[in-house]
Amino acid sequence: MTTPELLTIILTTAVTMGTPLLFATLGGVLSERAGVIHLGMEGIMLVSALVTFVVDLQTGSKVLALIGAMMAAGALSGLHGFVCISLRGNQIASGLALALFGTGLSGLFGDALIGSTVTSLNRIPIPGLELIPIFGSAFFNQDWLVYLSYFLVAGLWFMLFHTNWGLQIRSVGEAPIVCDALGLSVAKIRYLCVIFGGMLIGLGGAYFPLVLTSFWVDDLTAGRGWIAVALVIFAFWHPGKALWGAYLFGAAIAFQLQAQVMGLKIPSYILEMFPYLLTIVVLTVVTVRNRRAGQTFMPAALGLPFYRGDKH
Amino acid sequence: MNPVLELQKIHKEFPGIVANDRIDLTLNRGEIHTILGENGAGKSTLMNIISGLYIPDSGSMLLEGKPLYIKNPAQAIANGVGMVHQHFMLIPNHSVSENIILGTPQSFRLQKSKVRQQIKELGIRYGLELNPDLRVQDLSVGEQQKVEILKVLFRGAKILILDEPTAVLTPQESEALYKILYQMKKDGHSILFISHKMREVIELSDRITVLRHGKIKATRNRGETNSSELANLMMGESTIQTAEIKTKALKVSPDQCQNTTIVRLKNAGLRHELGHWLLQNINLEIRAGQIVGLAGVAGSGQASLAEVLVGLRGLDTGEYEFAGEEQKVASVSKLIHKGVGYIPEDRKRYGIAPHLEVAENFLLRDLHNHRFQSRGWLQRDKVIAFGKERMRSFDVRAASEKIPIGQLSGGNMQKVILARETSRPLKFLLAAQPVRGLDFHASAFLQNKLLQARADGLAILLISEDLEELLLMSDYLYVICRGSIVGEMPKEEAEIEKIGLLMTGERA
Repeated sequence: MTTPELLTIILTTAVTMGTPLLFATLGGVLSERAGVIHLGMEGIMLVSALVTFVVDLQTGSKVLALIGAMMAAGALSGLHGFVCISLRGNQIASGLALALFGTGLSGLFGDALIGSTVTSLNRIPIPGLELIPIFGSAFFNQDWLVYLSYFLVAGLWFMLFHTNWGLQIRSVGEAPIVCDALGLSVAKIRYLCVIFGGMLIGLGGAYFPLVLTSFWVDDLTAGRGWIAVALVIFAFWHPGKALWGAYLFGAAIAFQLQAQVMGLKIPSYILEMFPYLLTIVVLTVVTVRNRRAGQTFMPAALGLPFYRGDKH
Repeated sequence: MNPVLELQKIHKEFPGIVANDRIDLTLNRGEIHTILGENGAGKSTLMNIISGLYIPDSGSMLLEGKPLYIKNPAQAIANGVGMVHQHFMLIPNHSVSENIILGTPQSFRLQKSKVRQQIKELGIRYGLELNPDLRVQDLSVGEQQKVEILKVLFRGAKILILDEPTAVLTPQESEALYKILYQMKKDGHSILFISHKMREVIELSDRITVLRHGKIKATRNRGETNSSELANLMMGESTIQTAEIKTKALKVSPDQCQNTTIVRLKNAGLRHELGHWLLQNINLEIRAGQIVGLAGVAGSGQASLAEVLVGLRGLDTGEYEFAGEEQKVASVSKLIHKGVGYIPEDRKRYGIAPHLEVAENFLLRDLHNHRFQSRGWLQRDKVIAFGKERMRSFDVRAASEKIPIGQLSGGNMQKVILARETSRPLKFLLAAQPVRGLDFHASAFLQNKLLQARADGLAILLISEDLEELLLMSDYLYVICRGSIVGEMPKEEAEIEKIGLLMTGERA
């Protein structure tokens, strides 16, 4: 195999593997920009993968399967929102509970699906662009969900930084008390972001049965939801950086798969560990560098429940 | 007279107190109307009702003669009522323009250049020029206040409420604010100005309404009153009596600065965890029997300096010498043993344990003291007796020494803290904002106690944002600005204007 060929294979796999991470990270960015931590991504991804698989199996419609996945993810995130926003509960505890609940639920109902298979989405080459050497087929000979993710990155970036909604979302994540005094509804904005963010995470979960694996296995997402949690931080809560982060980790997974295929003499357990190890390394480096630069990009009110000042 | 806003019998109660007792008030077009009152008189509650943060229990409001119902801040803004809060309602991480337009109707896609132009025009008109692209966290306090005012004007407010706007400003910044207010008044805006500083109020206001214990005491027109009348209205008859005690105590204290230096900082520097400097090149000396005042705008590094002096944080550069001994490692317990007392600025968070009894709170500095213990068991009768005695000698007014201290008023809480800190052998007392938010009587009592302690040979560092308090109490003054000492002078050479300039970082 020539080097360009190998590069193309790794890049293509990086994009494919990175896409579910990207969807989930974008969802996390939206939710956390409004100030609600979303640790339940793994659970939401597993449940939406399950729903996708079931609906696809029953109806054969990929679109219906996606809609079902997004509704399930939106509903679970709404529950998270209810605990965090209305009840002002602990966001970390609620997120962890959601992750465990989703994992359990998908395991329970997924048992009956073992042995069934669904078809994968077709690749749709974009004429012209796919012919670019090395990068062309990696980025422009993919399924339509990959193309959707490109639009979501641009759309979310534009929305957050160039529209009135985006200003309100970022403000609610920075200083809810200020927004309240200016007459904005903190709860409404937070609910919308948590639920729509959850739907994006659901897209990430749906990507597994739709593209990556055509049969059901227990723990289908294999911890990718947790990587997405870290990616939100790594991306500084920015959609554009989320893209690079997701593909970096996609590349790490691709590298590990390719190394196994090529029979490198490294135990497969070590190779499989690689992306998760990279998560820890990258988070450490980013945190240390930020501290040196004297900057933090975290929304100031992230994780804090909002109370209107009840003092007298 | 042309009333814009009328309040009729506005009444608001909170558990245990009547914050506003059937208040009647009118605001005319183009007037600056001041609400004067001590802390806790009900000023802020009243303003929060007008701006929609609180809903009154009863009473009504009229806007240009028509009934006005305000249930939330959005409705107040829609009716042209804008509030500049005492604690700024700004997002530090956002730009000036983002802060100004937040919550206003805008096109879906923000038209940033148009917004910039609008802000610029408003700025020129009222003397509020600012670069709209700067981030608020990079602005000075005075500039941040301009953003707050711009926010209100941008929303088209006709009625502006300013809650203690000069509390955080230097004298020069206050002057600039008055000019802005005059300009707004000329433009037909009506202004409700809240303050407890008599001097500025007499100069600025067209009318002054004095509030005490939630009731209106009197309303006076410009030129019809003077500061002694206002003081009497504000604080009640006993004011003058207490003020006398204060001067007496001042004279009692011997003016002998003993020569032992208790606290010395040499080229002290402290870094934030994120790397930037919180304190730099601090040289400071506090002697026994001396009150040293530290003047500075809020957030100039006072908090970090206090943390260093009481042993909460160790220096990154320079030396900290306590009673002739260098403190290489930050240790609160070591300094407590050596005789450091601390009245923290945020007394409710760092000064007391709110759910513990008053008597138990007296022990917080003495947890290792054996006099309250017998074979490791706490002697409750001794604790109670000690608490009772301390409460008596510091005039702490509480139903019992067994109630949770959180139920006490701010003044009584502060007396407990001072009593606790001074009831063990002490060499140095750090008092950060000791009388902020307290009523006149409690303030006078605490200041007297501090002066007594000074006469007994204690070294005291008084951190305050109130220049008059500093000039009254201190023997020597330091001025801090952006984490550095920018000036020092003995009391005799201190002038408010000079210190004010130093506080803003300008060389006088």
